[in-house]
Amino acid sequence: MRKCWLLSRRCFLSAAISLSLATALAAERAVLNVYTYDSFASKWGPGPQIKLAFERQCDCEVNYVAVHGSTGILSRVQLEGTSSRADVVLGLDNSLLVEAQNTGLLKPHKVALTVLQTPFAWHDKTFLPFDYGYFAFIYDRTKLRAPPRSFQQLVDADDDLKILIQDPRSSTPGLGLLLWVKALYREQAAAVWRKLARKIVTVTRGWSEAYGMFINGEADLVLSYTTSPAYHMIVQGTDQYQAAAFSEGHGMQIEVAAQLKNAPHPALAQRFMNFIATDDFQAAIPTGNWMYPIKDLADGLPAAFDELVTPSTRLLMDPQHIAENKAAWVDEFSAALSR
Amino acid sequence: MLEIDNLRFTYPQARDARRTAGEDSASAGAIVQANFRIARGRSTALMGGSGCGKSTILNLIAGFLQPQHGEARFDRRSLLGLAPAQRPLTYLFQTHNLFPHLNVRQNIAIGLHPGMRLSAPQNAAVAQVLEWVCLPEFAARNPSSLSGGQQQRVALARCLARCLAGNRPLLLLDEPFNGLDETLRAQMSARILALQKTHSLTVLITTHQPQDAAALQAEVVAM
Amino acid sequence: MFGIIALLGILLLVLCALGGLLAEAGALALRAELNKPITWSIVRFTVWQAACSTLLSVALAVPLARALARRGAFLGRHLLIRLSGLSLIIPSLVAVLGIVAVHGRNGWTNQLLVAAGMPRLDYLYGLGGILLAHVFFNMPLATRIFLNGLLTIPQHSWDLARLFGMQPRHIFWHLEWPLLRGLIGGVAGLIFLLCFTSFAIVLTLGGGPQSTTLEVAIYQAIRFDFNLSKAVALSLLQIGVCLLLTAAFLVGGMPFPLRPEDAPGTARPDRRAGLPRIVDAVVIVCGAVFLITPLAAVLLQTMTPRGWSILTTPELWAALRWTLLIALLAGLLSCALALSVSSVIVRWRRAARERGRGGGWVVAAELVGLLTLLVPPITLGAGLFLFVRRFTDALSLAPLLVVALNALLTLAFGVRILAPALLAQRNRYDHLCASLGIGGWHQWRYILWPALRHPLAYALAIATTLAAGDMGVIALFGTAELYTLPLLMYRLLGNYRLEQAAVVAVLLCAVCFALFWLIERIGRLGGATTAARTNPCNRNPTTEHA
Repeated sequence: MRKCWLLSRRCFLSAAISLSLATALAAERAVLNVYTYDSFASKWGPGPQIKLAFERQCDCEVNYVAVHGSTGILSRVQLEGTSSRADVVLGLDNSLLVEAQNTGLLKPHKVALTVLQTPFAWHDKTFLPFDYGYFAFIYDRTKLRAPPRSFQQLVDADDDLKILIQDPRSSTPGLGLLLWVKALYREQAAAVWRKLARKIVTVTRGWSEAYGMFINGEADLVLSYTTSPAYHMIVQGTDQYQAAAFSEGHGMQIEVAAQLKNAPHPALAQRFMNFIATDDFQAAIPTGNWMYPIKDLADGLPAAFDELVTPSTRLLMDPQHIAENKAAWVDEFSAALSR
Repeated sequence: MLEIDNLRFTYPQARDARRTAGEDSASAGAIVQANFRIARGRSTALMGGSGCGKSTILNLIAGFLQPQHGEARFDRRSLLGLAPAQRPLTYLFQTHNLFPHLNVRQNIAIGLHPGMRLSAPQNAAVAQVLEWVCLPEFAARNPSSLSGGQQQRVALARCLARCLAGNRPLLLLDEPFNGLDETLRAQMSARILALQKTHSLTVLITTHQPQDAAALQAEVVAM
Repeated sequence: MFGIIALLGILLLVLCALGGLLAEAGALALRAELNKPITWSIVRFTVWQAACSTLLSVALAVPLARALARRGAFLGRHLLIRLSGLSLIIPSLVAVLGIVAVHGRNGWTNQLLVAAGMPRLDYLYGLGGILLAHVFFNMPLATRIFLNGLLTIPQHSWDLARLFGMQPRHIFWHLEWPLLRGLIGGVAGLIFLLCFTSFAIVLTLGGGPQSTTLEVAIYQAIRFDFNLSKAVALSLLQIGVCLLLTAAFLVGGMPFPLRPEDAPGTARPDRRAGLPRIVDAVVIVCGAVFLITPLAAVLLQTMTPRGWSILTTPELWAALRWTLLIALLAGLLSCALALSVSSVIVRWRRAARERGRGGGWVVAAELVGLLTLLVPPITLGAGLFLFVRRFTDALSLAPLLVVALNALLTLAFGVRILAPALLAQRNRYDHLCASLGIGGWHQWRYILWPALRHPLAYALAIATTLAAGDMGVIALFGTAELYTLPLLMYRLLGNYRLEQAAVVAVLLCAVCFALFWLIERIGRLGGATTAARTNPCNRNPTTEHA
């Protein structure tokens, strides 16, 4: 037994040593720290491809600090404050802009916004969009023959129609839905939530839990993105899952990046910001993050993207307006669902 | 000479007393007091019904309880300031005398050296006491494979080993012959008596059997 | 001495964490939070769901334990008991997957109902789901403790029962209930605490904002509002309410042993009766189905070829390495801390008993041992992060912090396993050791170590497996290089890779089970019989050879 313990202790030691060695070796090249959410940085997200492409031209190393869930990025940067090692944050979205700005930790991106080829106008000097998408309810067309064609139809539908949504306090799609409802219904939002409440199976912490439950047949519709069906078509080769197109329009999510004032490598951070708006970065977005790129790609979008729902109306709210009212709206949502 | 002068102990609380005193649970909340002398080389038996505080007296002398009042001296030296292991005595407990994970030999050896590293004379003493209690062939056995009476004899053997090889001339025996049949009782008390004579031991025993006191030629103190 | 340092160190760490948060927040708005009606409705819900979960778990555990005790031998009994011991270490996110697959709207139960032409039942989301999951986790724990208790009823009691011709209900009231009554307080206290602070289950199965517990509210205060002052206020509230409600159970007596003791079966007179036999069979089958189906469901979800492709990716093996490294280090640290704290608790407890006073210190020491079970991991993690940041780069210390935090969070289990074992051994042999002059190192080596080896291995096994399944801490500190199996599973889910996530879930379970089994095994090597011998049944040497 003693021998066994010694052996394993040696394993720990060697692991610890190799760990510190790895850090030491890495220190020879400049390391650009990019704070992002974990599904972006993971092997199955766009992260690795972007890392390779940037490292090829910068003589540096890109290190992703992968924060669990996209709402965590901002609180992580706030937690670390001025001592943060972050150079760039990647993955904030349009609902968080004012709070992020107010931390006073970010500085202008200095990228000419003329490179953007987006269906929306963008003038912000701090935040640079890197992709965008539309929130939508996804359904399984082999099970749901007649999906709702408008938000109103969803609200008025029979209570047997079950939906899965995410919590606006912990997930960006959840918050996106909150804004979507607010943009469509304004003062009637609370009443709409009360009607929706009877159809909601559960409100999950993050997108993953809800989507997983939907795939296992727990509900008829799940809140996700119009681009989700593209994953199933391209990777799984099935068009079973479709987004329900709503005639009033769809809430929009614009994901943005920003560089930090106290970035340890300001020059590299600036280069990375410039890199975001290039084809090398953007090419990883459609089938990596399953979102739309902010510029037209040389190779165009994958064919499956042509079959996706394109919203007639894009609902995008003023960030200032969001920041001022978000807390009240979340309370309204909680109260309506707690009945 | 063992001198016990007005040794008094009051249990702090009835509830706690039950745990501290263990077997002596009936003495909960009671005051125990004792006053007696035993000359060197003589035996005394504390007799009385269960719960009258016999074990408490032994615990006071051995140092597991601190008396509120009184004095205990052995050969004119006060015992009270000393730690249990420093007192010139050995104690045979009623229960939990043996360590279940050590074999018989080790159980005796650990009484002579806490790391069980014995010198040659000590080793000889272990063999000697095992013979005295008629268990030499059980040296390598585990206590759990012995009968209750055999276990009691191993504990007694350890006491004797400590007494002789460790030079501790005061022997405290708490119901030492529990679980022994008549023949063994007689054998063991004869052995203790013989050792007491040759080594001039002082023996204090608790019992509720008058014949035990008689066999050890002990003076009886009724409680 | 060493123990007191550990005790103070733990206290200091918790205070540093709260202080780190407070220093960042500027001020503690405790009164403002307490004055909000929403705070109290959260407290009410938290207490309510924990109380219901505890009541259900204990109430269901009693008949199951009784049935298992009565049916001494049937095929799979041993396996069922072992499985029930594992419920404590199954990572909650894996179990939730399985529970949804069995009890969800499209789960096995509902599929059965629909096939039988009956309407679907929606019982999983909301309070029902929380209770179901909490019972799934805690009922086996209670069952096992009760079963261990029932098996210690000595043979002579059964002989008496036979002599007096006792019926099963007499047996229950005269033999079993007095024993169970002594155990229920401690068991209920622990389960209440575990349910009070449960997080992943409430978040996933709670159904929405109507099921907000304090732990969830604290998480949201930090992650969503970045309102650190509110987080500290709610954390203090949680510690306060928890202590108030469970202190009576947890501090009054020594914590019960969690260590399973394989007591030999006794000849019970009520084995042959006809009706109890049927009742027992029904109870055991229901219990087994309830416990096994979610695990089977998780296993079945991996039956897709696409999922197994994850085995060829280096990420999986990196995650496995990190999981093992973190879990083992955290387990060892946790055990070392638990042993130190236990030795202080035992020493003070014995001293207090001899002097008849000083009990307050014992209570304080026990509370420190429990403290890390009360402080939410996110408060501890974020607080320590902020604190460490003042002196050094917190991120480079991330692996160490993950290990330290996991060790702290599993400490309470270690203390509850080790302290009773240590106390029993000291009570039994301290006088003998003192009279024989065995002290210090020799006492540890020859007297305490043989008795503590198995409990230590058990504590290590529990701490290690809990750390392996941890999500709360690693979610705070994970990076692109530092990730464990639970985090990898979440990343796969976040990238639509459901099948692969299911494989990782099963793998995580397998790792937990293997670690648990292996460590316990090592602890038993050569000491297999010690456990049986310290069994209270044969404590009395005079009856042993009968």
